[in-house]
Amino acid sequence: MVRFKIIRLIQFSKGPPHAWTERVLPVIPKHINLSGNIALRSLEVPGLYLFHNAEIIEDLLATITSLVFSEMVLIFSEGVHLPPRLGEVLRGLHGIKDFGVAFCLETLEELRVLHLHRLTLETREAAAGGAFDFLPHPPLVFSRTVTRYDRAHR
Amino acid sequence: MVNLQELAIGDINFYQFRGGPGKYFGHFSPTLRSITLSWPRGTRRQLLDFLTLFPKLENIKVSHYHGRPPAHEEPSTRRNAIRGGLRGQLVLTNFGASVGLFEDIIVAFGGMRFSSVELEYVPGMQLLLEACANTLQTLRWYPDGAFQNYKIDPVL
Repeated sequence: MVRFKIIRLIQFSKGPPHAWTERVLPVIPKHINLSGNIALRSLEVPGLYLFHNAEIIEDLLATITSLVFSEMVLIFSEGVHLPPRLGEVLRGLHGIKDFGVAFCLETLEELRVLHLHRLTLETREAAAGGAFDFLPHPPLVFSRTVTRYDRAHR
Repeated sequence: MVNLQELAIGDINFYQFRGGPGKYFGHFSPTLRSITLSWPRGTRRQLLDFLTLFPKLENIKVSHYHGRPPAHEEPSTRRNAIRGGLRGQLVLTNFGASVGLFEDIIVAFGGMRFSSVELEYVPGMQLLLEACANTLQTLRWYPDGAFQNYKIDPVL
């Protein structure tokens, strides 16, 4: 049976909040089966999701049949602290299957892309309105990764 | 430009390519191995046709694609199945296309052999996992709702 939920999505290319639209998106199953993936070595999941939904990860681990599976990588974003009882949750999961654990700190690439996308659209709109017609070509838009130190000294 | 192996395009709109994207990107076919598309716009068939321009494609990264088939879509020109590609990394983020597109890609490329797969909000992911049954080594999975309702410190 296909279930649906309504998610409010921001239409970034379609102007201000009053232009937001709603889309109907399918619900993604929370349970996947990895029993056929015989070469699987590593499973990477968001650390906080694992902490709050250990039973789903339990079910997932139980489907793994790969003989070379050896590692669980927990992904953490900027500003997220390790949950104090994470060790207990991992200990429980380890009873189902043996694995090593790694933590991965991940920066918000999506935000970088989002802001770059917005700047590109605004630049394009301004160029279409003639704002840069004194230039041989419209301004180039690109992104650069900066450190907090760099940002603090702007 | 020769020997281009990686190509990243933001906001590509397949409707804008008169005569098909092959006219504009076909010269990259012999060498291109990695493609990254952010917010691509076009039908599923247009995306498929674009990907199959590159028979040596190993890595695919697509984010924020919500292609739906139009009421009637003319079949593309008949193409030969590509053998041996899609061995590297597949990254799909907010990929709203239907399972049918995955099936088309599998047929067009003669299967999928990705060793690394990253999925975030991808309907039909079980099909992808089964297609890569013998080759998948690393799965990065962001379950639906993985980032909801969790308190995150503001970025300093």
